[in-house]
Formats: sequence, structure tokens, C-alpha cells
Amino acid sequence: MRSPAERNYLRRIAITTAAYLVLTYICTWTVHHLHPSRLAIYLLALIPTLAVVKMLHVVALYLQEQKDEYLRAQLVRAILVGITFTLVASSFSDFLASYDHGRGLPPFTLFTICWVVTGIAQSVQSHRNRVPDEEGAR
Amino acid sequence: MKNRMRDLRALRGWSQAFLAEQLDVSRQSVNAIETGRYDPSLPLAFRIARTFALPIEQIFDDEP
Repeated sequence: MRSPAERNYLRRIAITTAAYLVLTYICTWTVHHLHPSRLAIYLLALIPTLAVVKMLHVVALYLQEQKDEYLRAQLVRAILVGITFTLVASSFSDFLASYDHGRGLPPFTLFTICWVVTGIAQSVQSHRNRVPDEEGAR
Repeated sequence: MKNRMRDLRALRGWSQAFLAEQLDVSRQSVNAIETGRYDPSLPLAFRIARTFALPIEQIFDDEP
């Protein structure tokens, strides 16, 4: 059974992810079909990143609302793993781009890596804790 | 940090879920503390001590 903080976290993350996808679609469509000015392109590229900021805000809210210190530590560890993989992938992409004439990782890969790895790290930690309760007392 | 939580809980015939409820934490927390994967904060250690009605040093051992 999930705690209220976990339920809020999952709900907020789902809403923010949906907002990110919608914003990305709208901005990409606008750039490709309406051919905006250079300045407008910079602004359109900035808009989906608001959802990224909101995602970290959702994490901050969870850390504030979750009263269970172990679960808080678990999320912090998972995010550190996610950030580590993201920085490794980012450095790899930059080196690849400089060695191979600008061909780095495909766009949006880093954002996906961060959250997918964070999710995997959380699942692994939860799985490690899934030990059957040995006695039926009380 | 070593602890005797599992033994003390078994002596009282409590399940992890029951202890977690008493401490107002998740069962995952109880499991992580019992297996030594997580050291509780001082406030939680005090709550554990109160729940078992024992001094902290009889539950937790900071000696290597």
C-alpha cells in the first residue's frame, strides 16, 4: 500500500510527464510548420524545459511530504544514480560529437536516460526490500 | 551499525508490519534497519527504543 506522499508523487510525475510530452509536441509542430523567427525558436526550445523544472519540484515536494526517512533516502539515492548516468551519457555524447564531427547522442536521450535510470534504481531498491515477513504473529 | 531489532521483535512475536505500524514507518524501513542496510536517524532510534521499552544502547551497537 502506498503512502499519501507516494500517491501524490506518482500523480504529479504522471501529470508533469504528460505536460512535457504535450509541450514538446506543440513546440516541435510550431517550429516545423510555422517557421518562426530565430528568437521565437529559442523561446519555443525553452518552453518544454519548464516541465523539467517542474519534475524536480515534484521530487522536492515528495521529499517534503514523505515522513518515512528511509523512503526519502531511497529516492535521493535513485536520483543520484539517475544524475550519474545522465552526466556520463552527456560527457560521452560531447566527446563523441567532438571526435566524430558533431554526431553525439540523439536529441532528448539525456532526459529519458535520467528518468528511466532513476525509475530502475528505485525499483531495484524496492525489490531488495521485498522480503517475506517470516512470522505471522500479530 | 549493528542492532538487535530482529531478535527483540521475534521475542515479542511481532511482525515487521506490526512494528512498522507502531513506529509510523514503512515495512521497508523496518526491513532495511534490521538487515543493517540503513541506520535510522536519532529521532527514529528513540522511537524504536520507546517501542521496545529499552534504552537505545541495548538495541543499537556502534562497535565495529
